[in-house]
Amino acid sequence: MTNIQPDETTRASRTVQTETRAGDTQPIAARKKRKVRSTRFWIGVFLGLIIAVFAVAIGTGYARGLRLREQSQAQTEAQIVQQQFDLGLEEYLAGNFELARQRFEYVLSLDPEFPEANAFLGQTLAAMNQPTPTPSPIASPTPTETPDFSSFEGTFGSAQAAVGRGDWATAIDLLLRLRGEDPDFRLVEVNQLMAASLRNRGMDKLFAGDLEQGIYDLTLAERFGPLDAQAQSWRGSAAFFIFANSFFGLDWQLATTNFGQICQANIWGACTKYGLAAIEYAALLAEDDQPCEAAFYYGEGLAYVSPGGVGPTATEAYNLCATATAPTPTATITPTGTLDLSTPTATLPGPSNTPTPTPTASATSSGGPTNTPTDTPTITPTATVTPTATVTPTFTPE
Amino acid sequence: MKNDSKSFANWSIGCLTAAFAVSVLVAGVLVHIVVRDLTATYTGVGLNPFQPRAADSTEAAGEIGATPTLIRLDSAPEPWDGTSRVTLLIMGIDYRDWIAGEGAPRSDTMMLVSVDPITLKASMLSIPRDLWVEIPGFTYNRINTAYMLGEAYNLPGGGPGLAMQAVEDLIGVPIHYYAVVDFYTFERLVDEIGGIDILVKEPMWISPIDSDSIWVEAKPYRFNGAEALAYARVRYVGGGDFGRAQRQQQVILAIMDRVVGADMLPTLINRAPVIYQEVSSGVRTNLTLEQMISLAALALKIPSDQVQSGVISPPSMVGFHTRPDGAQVLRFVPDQIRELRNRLFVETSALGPEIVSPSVEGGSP
Repeated sequence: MTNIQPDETTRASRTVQTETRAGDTQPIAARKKRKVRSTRFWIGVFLGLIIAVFAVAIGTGYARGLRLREQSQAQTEAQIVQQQFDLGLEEYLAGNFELARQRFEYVLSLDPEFPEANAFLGQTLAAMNQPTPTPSPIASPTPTETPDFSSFEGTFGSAQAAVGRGDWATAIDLLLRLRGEDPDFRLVEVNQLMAASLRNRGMDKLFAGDLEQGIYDLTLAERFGPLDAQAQSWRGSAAFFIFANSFFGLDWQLATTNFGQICQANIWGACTKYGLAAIEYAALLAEDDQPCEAAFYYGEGLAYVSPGGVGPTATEAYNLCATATAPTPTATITPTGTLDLSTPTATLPGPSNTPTPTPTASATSSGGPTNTPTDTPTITPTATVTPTATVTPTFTPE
Repeated sequence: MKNDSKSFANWSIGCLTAAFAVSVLVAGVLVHIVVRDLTATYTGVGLNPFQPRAADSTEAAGEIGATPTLIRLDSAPEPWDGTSRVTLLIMGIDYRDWIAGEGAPRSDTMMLVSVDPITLKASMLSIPRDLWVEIPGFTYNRINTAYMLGEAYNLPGGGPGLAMQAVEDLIGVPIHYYAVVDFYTFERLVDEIGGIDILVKEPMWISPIDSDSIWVEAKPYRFNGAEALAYARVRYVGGGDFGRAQRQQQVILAIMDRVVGADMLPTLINRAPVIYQEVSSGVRTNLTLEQMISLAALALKIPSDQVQSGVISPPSMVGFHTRPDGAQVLRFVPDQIRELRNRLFVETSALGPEIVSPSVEGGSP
């Protein structure tokens, strides 16, 4: 080891003693520095390697896992499809056509090419006396333009186009997107389109029988301004139907009274419910020794529905009533053949609580709707908020 | 000699490097396997103990006496776009009934949770299980039978699908997703986050499953999973089923508070694999993993004072009725329930003439 004296003129202020090994021209400090750098470099390389290996492992693991998951899901879906098809066949053979239809449609929604599902669906619909208009029951989506999300104006234009073609749900989604990104963008126009779309979607839902869902949409539309009279009328009727429905199975008298009123408008299957409720109410009246009232409601109910096992009870009530009201008490009526209670041949005294055509105050006080339903709601709604919004109702009165 | 020691040093370094490389590769393979298995095992539908089987129509028909007729069930939920309001039906199920061979269970708890990503407001609505409603495709029954019927008849969408449809028909709010949580899973998840802090409002006995009853006073407690579940299920104290619903909402909020707590993040990260496994195996849902993460992130953004809650309860919203067979049920009063629905879901919606952000509006709900 050789000590080399530092150059006093240039390094006078430094106290660092520099050393070199024999034949080594590098100062020790510089060498240490290089060594540290070299060590850091290798640590960096190792760390980079570790990160790279783990990143690749995670990436490939995730991708492989996704593939396995998809395979597994496809397998499970195939099992479910096969199972629902088999159940659909069972339902079909058992005569439960409505449920069979649901199951076949579900199968085709998952696998449109499922063998024979289409054919069986056709047979099911035929058994239900429904037309089979298309070879595939899955409605082909109407081709729509791809929404333009490149700018607010583009999104707004897409929303307008959706409103123009009556695609209320898409319009609402697009307008909501706009609202989320810039609450003040074309505030008035966006509000108008939102109100119209909500109102019309709500009406569509009401027409389709989704009553509370329709009321919900109309309530949202009402946040933008008062509803038009037609929407209010339909909403009131729907609310009254739901009110009547809340008594079904719990209070047959109120169910009968309320459904009797809605049945006059003949919407949403109210008459079927009225018929069922009336028969149940009649049974209660018969048990309560009120044969004439029972006979009246049996007649009302059997005019709309014909559940099994009701005939003898209804006939008995009818006979008891006829006996009680006959001018000569010795006369008895022995029914022969089929008795058509929907067209009674004898005039029976009407019950004291015959349904009235308008909702009673008691309904409201019991928690019923405050809107008076229109008996015959009109079904040609038009959009009043925006000129481009039009409704093409598919509702067909029963 | 010098060369020998140098070559030995080089040899040692080489060996160490090789060992290190092998270790890294082995660790990489293990990570690959773990990630692959975790990803593959998450099916998005989680636990489904009711394997596909033939419809056991006698099971439900024996009680209901009806054959399903018309059912409107969606085969798959609409993908969540991230901006529209998202609503989730949470159902608590006691699978012990099923394990004990008592058939498909009824839903013990039904709660509608809705989050609006634009207004950053959330709502919770508890639905009493004895509510007498029309079950789509069946006749009228208690609303908690919808899940059981959907499972028993093996309907498309199963029990959750029919339950969602029944609740949607009642409330009117579109329901996008469901989550069916098993009791045991709930217990374990609460344990994983270290328990929850609950302010007990009135003294009561709580009965953890497979454990002795515990007397709790009206004071704050930190409950473990079993205790939290027992507290949420107590029925025989003031308020009955309706007080129970409020306690369940209190537990949900306590879980949220606990999860967003400042000290929870390291725990959550540390316990993520276990929590993931618990959720994956014990929660049945139609949410994908990505949606669950998005929703959780959204839920964490919502200030606790912007969470509104309500319970469908007497005296105005339901009436007590006794059926001819002696069964005690609840009749819903539609316009009163509608008022509550509007307060929770309409007034908090971004579908309005203007948006009032929580920071501007301030105040408590």
